[in-house]
Amino acid sequence: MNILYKHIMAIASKEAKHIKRDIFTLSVALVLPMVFVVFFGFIINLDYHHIPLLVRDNDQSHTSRELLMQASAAGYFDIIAVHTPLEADRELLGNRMRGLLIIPHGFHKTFTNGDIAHAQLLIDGTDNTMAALATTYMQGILQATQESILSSYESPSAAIRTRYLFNPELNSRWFIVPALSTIIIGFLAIILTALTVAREWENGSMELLLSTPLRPVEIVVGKLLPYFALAFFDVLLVFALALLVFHIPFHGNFVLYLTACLFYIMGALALGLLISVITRQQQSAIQFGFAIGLLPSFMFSGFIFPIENMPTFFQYLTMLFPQRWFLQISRALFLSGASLIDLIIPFIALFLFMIGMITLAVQKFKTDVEP
Amino acid sequence: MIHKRIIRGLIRKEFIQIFRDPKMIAAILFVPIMQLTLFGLALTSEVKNIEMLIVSKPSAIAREVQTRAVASGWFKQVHHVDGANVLDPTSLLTTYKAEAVLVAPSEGFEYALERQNKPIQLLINATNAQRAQQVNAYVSQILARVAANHGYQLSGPMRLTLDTRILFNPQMSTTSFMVPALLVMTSFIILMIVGSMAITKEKEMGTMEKLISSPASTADILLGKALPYFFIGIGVVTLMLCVGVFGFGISYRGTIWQFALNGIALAACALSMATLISTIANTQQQAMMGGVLILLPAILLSGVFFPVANIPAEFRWLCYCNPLMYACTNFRNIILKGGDYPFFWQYFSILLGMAIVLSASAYKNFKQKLN
Repeated sequence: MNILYKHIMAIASKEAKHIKRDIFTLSVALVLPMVFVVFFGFIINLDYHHIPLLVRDNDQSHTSRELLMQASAAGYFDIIAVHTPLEADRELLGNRMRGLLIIPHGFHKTFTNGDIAHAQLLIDGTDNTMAALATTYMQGILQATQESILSSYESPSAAIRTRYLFNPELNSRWFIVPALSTIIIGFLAIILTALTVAREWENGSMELLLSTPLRPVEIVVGKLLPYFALAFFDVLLVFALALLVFHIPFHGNFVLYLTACLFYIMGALALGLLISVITRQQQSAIQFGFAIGLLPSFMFSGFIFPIENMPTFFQYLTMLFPQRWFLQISRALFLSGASLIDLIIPFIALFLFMIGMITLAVQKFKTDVEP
Repeated sequence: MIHKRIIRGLIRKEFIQIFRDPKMIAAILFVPIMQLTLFGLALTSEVKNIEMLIVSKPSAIAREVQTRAVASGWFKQVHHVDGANVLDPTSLLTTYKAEAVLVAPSEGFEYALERQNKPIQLLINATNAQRAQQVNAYVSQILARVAANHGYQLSGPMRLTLDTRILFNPQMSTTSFMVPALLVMTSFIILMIVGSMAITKEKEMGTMEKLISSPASTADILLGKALPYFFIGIGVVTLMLCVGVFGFGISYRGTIWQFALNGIALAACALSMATLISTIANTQQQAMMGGVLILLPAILLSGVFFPVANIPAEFRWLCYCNPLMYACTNFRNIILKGGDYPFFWQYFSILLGMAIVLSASAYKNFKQKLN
């Protein structure tokens, strides 16, 4: 018995009718990726500016004033003077201020005498990224102050010159937009199919479907196809937006990108379907869909937390998530124009994921059907 | 009108339904705990495994930079490539053989450090702009130290220095920062999903008509539906706090009643939002799409991944409408900073206010649909 194209198309057109009937779901699936990528691509940002910082200037000297001027000019800090330690404590504990800079008495004198003068920075470490950045910024500000006062540039490190390849201006949009589209489309793909089979079981129409001469492979592939068309349309739309609205360069091969999209979307849709086949119940299907699709794609894709920084075990664990591979391909193709040979591992991984998910869904489906 | 007996009956029915399906119990209890544990273990912001290659003719400085880099634990050795005879260092990055390449001029490091007219080049793959900056800082730091060992000063002596003290999270651990946020996100997601499914499921199955025609009032039905999940939500949040404190050793500085109050407000907020969705949606699929529509922005705008202060001012109000933002900030304030009272009450009452407004509109909406 071979797989009949006619059967697949019959299932696909039945599923397409389901999609068309539910206008709300259809419009969310079509519009959401576009709107979210544009909107969040514009407004979210990983940089920290305007960190509210308290300052206690016990020195009131030329040097300390210069330091404060440099600090407010840099744009990283919003500086507010504070007079008593009690007040500073209250502001820090009440989350209104992020840190306190103390310039001790005699700061200017020590410095002009040619000794090393210390300023003290107390910083709220609850947000560790912010704390680390604020310290680095403040060090830069102290250096700038020293240089401007001595006005003799004692050869700041001209010896080393850094070049950032692929994103020379470190534009954070180039970094966020491909990642955002990976996460949103992947998540959408998983949950779109997560309900399809479960709903049929709940409504009792599954028995009808099973009594037809259709084979499990045909049902699975037929169910995936219309959703694939939907998600693929989203991908093209988001791709166009990345180029036209955000002016992100695309250096790679477009066919290669489309192939990666095909593997990624098919894999994610099949994962959703697998969830549906296993749970057989909409409520728990959605639970698992969200559990697997939502937070892990933020945490394990390498979007915010680079995979390379994770402990070894988790570097392997993240390999199970297609988001990781697609994000790697997407970033590389957009920004560095990598070739297939450079990206062979992520491509193989995505392909295996897709095949594996479809096979598992079909297998599980079979065991359900044949008691 | 509220009938205690009816509500008790409804709660019993709901619990029976939940516990009948082991998959549901797994989804509600096991998934959040597992996510918290995995993410808590995996996420660090410390940069590791930088694959750096030094391209230079063999010299003492090149060797020392290499040894120091590997010894620091941030870098990883690049195998199969000999730094002494690389002709095109850029190609190492485009083919993803290395993440950073430190290139000495053909005369060697010593010449560059002495003369400064032929700089040392540092090439970094900036497809991840954030990581690239950190890599730059690490490499420069190591190079400066090695140069100083050999008697070269890369920058003038710093005479204005900074003593930094990190408050509240002295190890600057990402886990301490993320656990309160994960606790909020995972429980919010679970409650939103299960809560909104619970009512739409009755609608889809047609059992809602039976409930409505029974002597139970609107308030009875809504409370009877929401309360079981409310109790579950409180249980999940408490369980996750235990994992955070006993499992990850986060020092808990606030009081227990603050945690309890905030947890109750969070659960109430999530469930009233879920109820509101389910009064609008007709099918579980629609309820799920509604959940996506709310959860994605809520996570992105929670201030956990992207700082609120850096969102453009005209869109920042969105963050101030986001219950996740209040819940995350307040839990972090309680757990890590000891829960400053004015701040706690402010954020708690906003969160509670949101829950009240949401549940009132859900109640109104539900009633309107009945008439």
